[in-house]
Amino acid sequence: MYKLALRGLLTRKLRSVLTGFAVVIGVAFVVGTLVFTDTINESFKSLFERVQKGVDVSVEAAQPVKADFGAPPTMPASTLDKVEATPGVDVAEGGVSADGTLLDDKGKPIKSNGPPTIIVSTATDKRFEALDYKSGGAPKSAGEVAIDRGTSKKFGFDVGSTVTVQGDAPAKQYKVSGVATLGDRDSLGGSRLVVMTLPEAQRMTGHHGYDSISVATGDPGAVKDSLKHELGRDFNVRTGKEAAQQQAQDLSDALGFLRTALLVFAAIALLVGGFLIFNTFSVTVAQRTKEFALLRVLGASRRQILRSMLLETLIVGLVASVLGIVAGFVLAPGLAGLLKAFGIDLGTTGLVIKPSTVIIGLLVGVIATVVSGLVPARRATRVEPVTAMRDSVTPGAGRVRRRRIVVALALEVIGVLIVFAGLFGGTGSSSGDAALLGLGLLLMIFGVAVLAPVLVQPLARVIGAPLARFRGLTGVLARENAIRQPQRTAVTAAALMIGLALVSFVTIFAAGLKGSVTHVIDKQVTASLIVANQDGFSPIPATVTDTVSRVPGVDKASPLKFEPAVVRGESGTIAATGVDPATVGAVMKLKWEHGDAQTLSSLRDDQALLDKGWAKSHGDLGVGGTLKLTTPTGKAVDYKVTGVFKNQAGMTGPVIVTNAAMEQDWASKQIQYVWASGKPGTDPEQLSKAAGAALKTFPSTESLSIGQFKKKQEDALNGLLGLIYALLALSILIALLGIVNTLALSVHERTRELGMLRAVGMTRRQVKRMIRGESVITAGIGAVLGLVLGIVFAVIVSRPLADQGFVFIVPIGSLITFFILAGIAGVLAAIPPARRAAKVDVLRAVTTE
Amino acid sequence: MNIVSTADLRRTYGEGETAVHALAGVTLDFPAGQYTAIMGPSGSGKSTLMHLLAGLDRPTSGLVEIEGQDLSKLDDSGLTRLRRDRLGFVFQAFNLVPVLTALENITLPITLAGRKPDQAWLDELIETVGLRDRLTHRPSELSGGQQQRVAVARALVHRPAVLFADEPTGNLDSHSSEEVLGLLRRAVDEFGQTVIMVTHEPVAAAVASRLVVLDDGKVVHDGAGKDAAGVLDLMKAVA
Repeated sequence: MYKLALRGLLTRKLRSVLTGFAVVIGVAFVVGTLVFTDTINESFKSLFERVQKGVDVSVEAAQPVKADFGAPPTMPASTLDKVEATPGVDVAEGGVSADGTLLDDKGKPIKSNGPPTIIVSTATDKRFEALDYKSGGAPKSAGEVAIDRGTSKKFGFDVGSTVTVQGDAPAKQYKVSGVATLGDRDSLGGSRLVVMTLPEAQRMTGHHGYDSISVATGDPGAVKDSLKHELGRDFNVRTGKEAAQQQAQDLSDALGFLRTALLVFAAIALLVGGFLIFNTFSVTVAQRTKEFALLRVLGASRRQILRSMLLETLIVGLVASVLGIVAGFVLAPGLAGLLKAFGIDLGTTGLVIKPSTVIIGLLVGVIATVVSGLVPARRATRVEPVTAMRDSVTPGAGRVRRRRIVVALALEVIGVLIVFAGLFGGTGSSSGDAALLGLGLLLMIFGVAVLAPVLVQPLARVIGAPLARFRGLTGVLARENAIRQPQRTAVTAAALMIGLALVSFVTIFAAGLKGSVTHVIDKQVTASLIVANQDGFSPIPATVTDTVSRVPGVDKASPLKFEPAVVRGESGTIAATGVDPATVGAVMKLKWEHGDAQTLSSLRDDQALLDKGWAKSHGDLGVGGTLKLTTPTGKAVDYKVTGVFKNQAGMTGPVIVTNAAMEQDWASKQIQYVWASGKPGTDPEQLSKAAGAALKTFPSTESLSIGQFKKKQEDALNGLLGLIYALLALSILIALLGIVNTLALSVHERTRELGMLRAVGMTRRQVKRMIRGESVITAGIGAVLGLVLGIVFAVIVSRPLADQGFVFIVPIGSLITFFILAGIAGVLAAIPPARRAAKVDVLRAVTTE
Repeated sequence: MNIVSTADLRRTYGEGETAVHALAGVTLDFPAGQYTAIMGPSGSGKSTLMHLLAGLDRPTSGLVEIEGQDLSKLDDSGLTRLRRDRLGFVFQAFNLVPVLTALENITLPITLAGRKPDQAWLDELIETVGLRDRLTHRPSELSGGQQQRVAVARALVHRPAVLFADEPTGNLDSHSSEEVLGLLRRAVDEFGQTVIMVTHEPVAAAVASRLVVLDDGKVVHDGAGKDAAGVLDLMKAVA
């Protein structure tokens, strides 16, 4: 039987290759993702080790509120004195580090969605110097900076060049004193390092104290313990090695979403591949019915047939997985490139291939293949021996059973229920809810896939109608051939459906988000000018507010802060918004549940406003209740709730406190936005221009009119949408391979019929047109199912957002475009099988025997 | 006038030592309105001859002309057009497109050419093959005999210059065979259709008015039609 399995594969080389290819792509995606993220993690680990090389013990403030990419609070200058006074400490040196903005050679701020520009202080003690100066040296005065070689190369700065840097303080010009590397690396993972003297770095970052203290000692273990004892639990004391590990771990955690997201897309690709495998093995079984029957006549047991079939899937799975793993190694840099193309440059080199990656790749590929091949394999065992004697060669169309509809409906109902369980926080953890959501959507997809054979006929009639009308006979034949084996067409279309469902889902969702944001800005933002960071999410210096308020035409300028906090007794971080009660009323109107504009403008520093939905899910807090928070400095602060508002489209965080409270208890220095109202009769575009001119010294900022602000939000969303499209394109590609495969099999089965058609006068062109029509109809069915499913997904998933002002918009134009693109894809997928069909040898086809 | 004629037609498969001469110099003329049966033992080259006559295969050497047109001068699309417009085919099996109805199958050559059928002729044909009440049925819903009758109607629908039938009764029981053979005969008698039929069944050959026997790629007999017993005797004598 083993021989039989092998022979079977070899004789159907092309088919095995095509089937395997789907697995190869899926596995490559998984392996590529793992290698890519491992490489990032590993490269940062070694980088941080390098940075901490000369540090025996490191001291940082504890971070009571953990946020991704969040830095610990700055320690007061007195901490260094305490550290120096601790017995066993040879040398201790404090340093600061904070994100800043560097201007490029054309005077524009360097933007990046990935690694930031980091302002750091230089080490005075050689032991703590992590940098190797390749030319020049460390900055000696407040007018000098050193930069990393990566930045030097990329922007053409060198020793003696003038660069402009902005931090919390306004932009200032510096002379480059040196260009440095980190060991053999040109940069710290793609970020731009700007090294300043300590006092200048403190001034520029606004960090008046130290972000970290490096200690040199002969006995790190003992000193670590005594420092811990001396400083208390508000500080993290670690050995240099531990600190490096911790830093790497933090970064890896922060980038964890990337790994998860990429793996989700890999899983989708594998799912689509599974459909393709299922289809191919089904067809193989159908075509080999006689062979199985003969084997049964000759005495093969059902178990033997099953084993032979499973062995075939196993071999395909193994070979494809191995190829996929190799392809994954190649793909990993490609993923880095893809993210880079969307502005996320992680600047990594080399590949980290862990044994676990290879094992996971193999397991994923083999399991996906064998599971997909299980149902067809079982079908093979059900072939009755008597079939060998019968005369039907071409497999007949399977009957559509009522059971199918029942199963499909059951899957849909269960799927929707699970989705809702996920949406309304059934598990209590966000990752658990996301998993539920995914599982529910998956069941819904399977439900439609199960039902699809029933839908093929009506859909093919509708989609094929124009073809039949304008293409005549070839159109009719295309349509009828698509219906001929509804299950096969259905599974092929379902594979395409998955990709298109997700594409249309995210498109509808994004359109809804855009619509909601626009709606909320129109309704609730009365400001006519918004000043924000160029990158859209980093904070800006607090002093910007004063500059903006002095701009001619500005009536009131109101700063807004966004800071993380923790609700005491709960896990997870919340985002709180800080407002200036005196001015916020002029720029923002909240939608109130309890309270009014007065509540906002009279908000005191010990009071808070809450979002309705959030308050409900956090112990049913209401007006008069007490909100217990831990601030980023670790302080426990209580706020009295004085109002409840309906948050819309995330315009503010779920908690609003005063800016003064944030400065006092949260150690909040920078702000997120300045919103400014214009004096009556001021032109918003003029205003934003004037503000832009006034903010020349803060090049990291951007002055936007409301229209520009909306546009910027949309652009950000569109960028993300583009990345998702690119990642989903892979599963659509696999689905198209499925169409190629199915059509190739059909052409093979219909050799005689095609020959006869050619004999009675069908031209090659007509043959091609017929196959193309069949492909377009199949793709069209997949598109219709996918679009409908995508709309349903969007309706369901946006349900809970409805009372947050989510506007449900169906972007008809985009959906029609997807449908047309699917049709074009169908035409492309038909090229190889159509060519093959046109080449059918008339003579061979019509010759009996 | 000759509808189909050949001159020293040769078809060789393979090369050198292993070469097989399926046809070793055949010269035949087929006048209009004649019903010819081509017979011969298996391997005699009768099928090869028909494929060459119908432009389904190309000769190694020699000439095939249909209505004075040298087939070697036609490219693939020219041959396709010739088959579609001037030739009719009835095969042993796989004659019909399973997804089309009987009527759609009958009009296939005309619709492929993008033309409309001549309704009066179509009606007469349908009447002749006796399938008026089966027109909307698909092939799988028709008996073997009915399927072959549809095939004959299809082969006649565009009034071809010549109808080629390749073992048209090979898969049929004797009753259905009779029907199909009768149809072909009527096509010759009533419509003046030229028919060339390859068969190995004496009963089928007996319907023809001319009998050509091939053996080892050569014509060994060419004469008037005989009854079934006569054909059988002749075949025995030849073989």
